[in-house]
Amino acid sequence: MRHVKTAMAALLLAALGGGSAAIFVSAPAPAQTTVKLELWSRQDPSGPLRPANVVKAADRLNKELAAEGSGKRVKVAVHESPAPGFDDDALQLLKVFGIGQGPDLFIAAHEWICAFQQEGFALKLDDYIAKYPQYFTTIFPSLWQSVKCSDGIYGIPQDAEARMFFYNKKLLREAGYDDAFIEAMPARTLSGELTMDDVIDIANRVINKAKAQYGILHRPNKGPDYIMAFQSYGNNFLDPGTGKLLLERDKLAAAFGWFERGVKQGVIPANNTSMEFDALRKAFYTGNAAFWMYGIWDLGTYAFPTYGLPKDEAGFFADWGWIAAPPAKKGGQAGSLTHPIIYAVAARVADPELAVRLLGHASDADLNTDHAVTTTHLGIKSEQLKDPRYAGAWPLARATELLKITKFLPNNPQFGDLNGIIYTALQGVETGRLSGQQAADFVVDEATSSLKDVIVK
Amino acid sequence: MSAVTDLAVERRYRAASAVRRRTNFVLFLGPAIALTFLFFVIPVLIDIAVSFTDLDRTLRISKFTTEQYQKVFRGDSRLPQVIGLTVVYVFGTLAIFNVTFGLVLALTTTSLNKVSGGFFRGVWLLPRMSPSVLYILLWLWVINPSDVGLLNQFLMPALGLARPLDLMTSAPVALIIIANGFIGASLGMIIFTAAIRGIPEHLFYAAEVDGAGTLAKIRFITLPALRWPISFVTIYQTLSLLVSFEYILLLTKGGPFYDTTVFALYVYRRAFTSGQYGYGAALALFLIVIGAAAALLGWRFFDFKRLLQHPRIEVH
Amino acid sequence: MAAPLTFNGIHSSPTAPVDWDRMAARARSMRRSKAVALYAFLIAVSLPIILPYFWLVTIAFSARTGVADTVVLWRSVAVLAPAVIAFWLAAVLARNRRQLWLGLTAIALAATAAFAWLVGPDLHLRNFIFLVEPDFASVVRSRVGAVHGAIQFPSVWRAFGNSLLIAGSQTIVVLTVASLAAYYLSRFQFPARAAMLRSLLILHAFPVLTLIVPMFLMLYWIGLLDTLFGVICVLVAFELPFAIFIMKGFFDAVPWDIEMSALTDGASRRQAFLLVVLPQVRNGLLAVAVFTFIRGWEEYIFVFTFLIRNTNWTMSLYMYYVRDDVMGVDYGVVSAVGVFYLVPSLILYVAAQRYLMQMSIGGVKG
Repeated sequence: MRHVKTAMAALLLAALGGGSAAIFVSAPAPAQTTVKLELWSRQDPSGPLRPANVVKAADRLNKELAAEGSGKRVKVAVHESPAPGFDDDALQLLKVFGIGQGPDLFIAAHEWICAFQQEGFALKLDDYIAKYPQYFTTIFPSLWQSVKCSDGIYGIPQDAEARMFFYNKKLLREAGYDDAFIEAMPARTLSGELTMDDVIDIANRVINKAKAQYGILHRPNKGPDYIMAFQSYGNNFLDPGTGKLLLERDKLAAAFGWFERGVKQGVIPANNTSMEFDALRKAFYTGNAAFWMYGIWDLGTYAFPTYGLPKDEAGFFADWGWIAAPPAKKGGQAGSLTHPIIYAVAARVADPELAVRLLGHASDADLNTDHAVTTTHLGIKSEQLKDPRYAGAWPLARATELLKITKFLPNNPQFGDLNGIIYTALQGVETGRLSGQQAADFVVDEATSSLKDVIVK
Repeated sequence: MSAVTDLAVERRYRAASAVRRRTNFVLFLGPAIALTFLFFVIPVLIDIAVSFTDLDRTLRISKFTTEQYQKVFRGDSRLPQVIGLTVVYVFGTLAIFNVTFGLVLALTTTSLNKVSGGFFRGVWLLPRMSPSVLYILLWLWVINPSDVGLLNQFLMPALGLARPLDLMTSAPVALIIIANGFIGASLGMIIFTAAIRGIPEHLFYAAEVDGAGTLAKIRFITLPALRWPISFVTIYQTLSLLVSFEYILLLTKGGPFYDTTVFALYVYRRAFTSGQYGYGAALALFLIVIGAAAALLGWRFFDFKRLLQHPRIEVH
Repeated sequence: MAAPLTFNGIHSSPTAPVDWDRMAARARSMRRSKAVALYAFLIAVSLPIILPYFWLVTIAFSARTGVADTVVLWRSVAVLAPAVIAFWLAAVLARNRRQLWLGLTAIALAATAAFAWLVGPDLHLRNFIFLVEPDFASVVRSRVGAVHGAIQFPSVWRAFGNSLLIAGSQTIVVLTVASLAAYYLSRFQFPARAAMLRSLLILHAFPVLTLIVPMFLMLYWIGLLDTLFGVICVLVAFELPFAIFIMKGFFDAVPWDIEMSALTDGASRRQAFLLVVLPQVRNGLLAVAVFTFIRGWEEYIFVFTFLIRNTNWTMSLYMYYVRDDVMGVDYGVVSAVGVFYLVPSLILYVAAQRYLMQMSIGGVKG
């Protein structure tokens, strides 16, 4: 019995010894760790590839990591938020970060990034960007303006676009305008001849003479588009010297006055802010509205696939077109608005470098072109212009012309909240509760009582 | 010897009874007291405390200040409009629907036979019993400002309108009064029905014999019997209308602009939409005080002696 | 001489012959016209409630293109309204039971046939796809692109389960705590009894929605924000005073003799409570249970405010986001979800109808 036991013990020891020797002798394979990164994204029919590109980037990054010999692998989990707009989504995300449950990466509208930075939720990216120039040096320099906060870069631009006033040429023809006038509208806007009030007059004639119900439509929820009208009246909302929010009462009143006039003449529907997005798009693309204050990506997302607008350039411009945001007075400067969406990293992420590399891969030119071409957004890198798919997408080329006069929303941490106040006042003006001047006073009152450091002139 | 043991037994019994009394207290009332303290008393204290801070979206308190109250009394230009709207809404809904229409429903359904009366009462309880999200969804579809909305399908041919009606923009206050009224009428209806059923039948027969018509019967028999239930419903429904904003939030979100933002919804908007938790707490304190006062007022309706029925068993 | 008799204001002198038949006929016709007026009025005011719910059901079973149309609704009403009127006429005109049943069956058969012919072809169950396919959004409409690995909504059964969990736990806890506390308050004497009853009076009427802001902060500081447990705790606590109040009313109505006899038979107070008194208040327990469950089932505002990350969905949130869908609202699916959400409430409500009327707001004067 004792012999059996000794024999068993000896066998066991031999096995252990042999095994461990084998382990030590063989090449040390790195232990594979999977780094899980959660990406917060908004459900958005005009941008499904924004999160999808990050998921694809994870594969590319994993291949790169394997080639480097690192044991880390990245896995991306996408959390889709049902918020109806980027502003609501940013507010929700701020709340989520506030209770300590924030994601690792997130997709946001650029003007909110400094709100995240101010509260310490976003990661400062300057050093990481400098460390990995291969992903980031070819991004258009102007786009970096949209991700800079007071002390550095906090986001990576994901796309850009241009916003304009679409218009329906067929309706204008029905209203009695001749082709020369219609075709000259874009050029006249750029040169400063066509003003905001002219747009109201054209729309007025359309609803009176043609079979259209609406004159000018704009988005029903909070967003950047209607700010174009404010910018036409000289509201830039930012004090260039101090970087603080600037409100100028009379310029605000003038801008609200334009909306007031539009509603009084029946050109802008009083319930524009409570209509559904689908209803608004349907109204314009089925020929029931003259102007649609929106952006270029709507063509690829809705106009072509859902409403069957002609996809070729000549066919499109036969019956449809767009003008930049007209100036307020004759001889003024026309404008446009570009609203880049950005990728950002949470401050408390465990492996920041890995996260930045992932986003770098997500910003690869080919992935970005996929997004740009399918949803008609503008790309972020100069080499995309050489991509035949990009070059072949004529809306992008034509929209690029607007980039010369385009503005960004100010990157002030409180601008998002200010936009909310402006939207509420806009709703008040359109529904007839406030006059233009009262709306300006409302914005000033609300801003000074709920925001900090607002300069009022 | 037996006297001593009897005494000991009795002492032991009383000690055990005292222990049982204490454990009974903890067992029966303990959970209720704990939950009530934790979720009623402490939040009120928190509310008072937070209303003196500048708590905002960051959920971090940086200073203690009375600026929230200064804002309430001096700085807020929305507040007068909100308070005015709240008064209109509460009294409008109460007067038109909760009390009056509830009374009408109770009177009419009790005049029918039991089955039909029960059927109509059941229909009117449906809004209260269905989930709020669903009820408001139905409202949104009914008032849809296009040809699809049920209301427009009726009213456009009936009134000969060219364009569909948009109640949400043109008559939002009426809209919230009606939407909440349908819900409120049902509670009054139940209470008044129960009270009417409690009126002895012979009174009605005697009145009929004396030549009373329907209206006279209502005036002289039914209404006096409903005096207490009507006051009861008035006070309680006033309180309930003052603080509930769920249906309004779902239906109009307080819009357009601030047109349907009643006081309770205003607190919610300030705190959760704008992130001004400190200001919201200050505003909420006023509601809490009003709520407590009205609840105290409701004492009058309760026969406290009957509530305090003295227990007849002393054993534990 | 007897005073002149008056019936409905008709004076008749004691000497002239009274035309009883005419008076009876007039009284009958007046009664009938009053009944007709009452029915007409009630039907008119109830129609705004019946019609939208019926519309919901018809859209759920017939919408094809995701649009809320009313064609099916009007066709169904065209069949059902005459059927209902015919039923009523049959009930009025039938002279004996056999005729009544014959009439009702005939009308029912005719109505079913008309319904099947007019409305039948439009009915389908495709809108209920959300019950089996979590990613019904992609099936129902074409999207521009697909996000790998992200489904727009969680499975409806998960939301259903969460709602059931919330409503169920709330009901069980409220029933237990409330009956214990109500029994003690009703049957035991202790020093603070009067004070506690007074505070119960205040608490049961206290508007809990005013406490939503400090509740949010308190849950955040405890760490229960964004959890189902936190929501359940809040709901339980807020429902408690009202439940205790109702249960106390029921306990007060139980006669003392039952307990006294149980105690003389040797039971302890706790045993008396469990075995003897509790079965007596079964109606009260049922009423409170049903109401608490329905409230938990429909709970929206606390769930919406306290659940922040949208990882825990409840039926109310599911309904809200399906209705407000960013990607495009499909009215057929929304109605189907609505019907699915409504059915449990309806079933409970119908079952509890009797208890509703029985529930006394204990202790009310007058």
